[in-house]
Amino acid sequence: MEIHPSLLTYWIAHLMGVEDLHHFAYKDHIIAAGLTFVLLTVFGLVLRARMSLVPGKAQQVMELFVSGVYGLLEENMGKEGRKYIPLIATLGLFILISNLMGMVPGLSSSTGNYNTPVACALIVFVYYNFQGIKEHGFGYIKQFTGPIWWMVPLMLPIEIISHCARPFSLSMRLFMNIAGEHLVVGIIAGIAPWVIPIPLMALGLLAACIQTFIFVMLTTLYIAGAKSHDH
Amino acid sequence: MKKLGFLFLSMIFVGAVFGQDGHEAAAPFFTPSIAMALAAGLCGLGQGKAIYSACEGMARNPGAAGDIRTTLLLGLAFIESLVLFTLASIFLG
Repeated sequence: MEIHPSLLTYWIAHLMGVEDLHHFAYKDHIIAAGLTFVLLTVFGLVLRARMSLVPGKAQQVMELFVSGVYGLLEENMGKEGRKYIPLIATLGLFILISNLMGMVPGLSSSTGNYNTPVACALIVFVYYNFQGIKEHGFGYIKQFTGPIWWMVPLMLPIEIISHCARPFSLSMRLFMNIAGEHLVVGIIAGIAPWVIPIPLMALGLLAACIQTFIFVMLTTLYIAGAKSHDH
Repeated sequence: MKKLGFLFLSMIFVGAVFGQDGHEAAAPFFTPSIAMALAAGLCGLGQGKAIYSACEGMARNPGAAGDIRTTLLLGLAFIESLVLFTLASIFLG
């Protein structure tokens, strides 16, 4: 896919004195992800320093987010689900800010490049399998074999393929939603650069939030599925 | 209906047929468009059915609206991801 670097990337290339702009454009998503990381870290540190019993505006937004993730976890895993909040809320925040950064003129989404979503999805894949092994030990294989013993040769390959398809579909869904939205806005802006792209960009805001929710929800469901005992 | 289906199939495979005389089999320029149109249209049908059922469920039992909405969003994302796979295969294939 063709790479359209953001203004920020051009600016950093200019500051660093890079001549080969075409090659530097491939670092676009790294710069966007780094900016997301810096933004989130600074925001978190400032918020922690100012934390108070009577929350301000920023603290209220964060409390809403965190209590939403807590609610999601408790709904799916009960009380013990609360301990997964560091991973899931961090993934959610990172993906949400990354998605929304594509809406800001001059910046680009790091999730609009396949490398960032696939990193997130692989983390989720490794983590839920690790949690399953931690919970069941060697008995985790029972999740793959199904209830009947003579069905094992059929069930095992199917389950392994379906588990390997999870990170693929998880990352591809996020990536194509963001990249496709940018593509559509780009094409429409090429045809009619005035008012007409704005509703599409509003739709993109909605899609960014929904995709974050889907990612977080599916991560929760995968961890809950790996820890469940009813197989 | 049968003729229409044959027309669609012939439009899709016409590149493979033309590609047999020595040249490499290149898809005609409108193959991605037709693939995307089929995928998006059928996805619209599926999502419409899902939203119809969800609206009906929410209207009949407003108390369950939250759960239904969560499930609806999840299901819509699953249906939609098939179209996105088509879009990805157009760009990468």
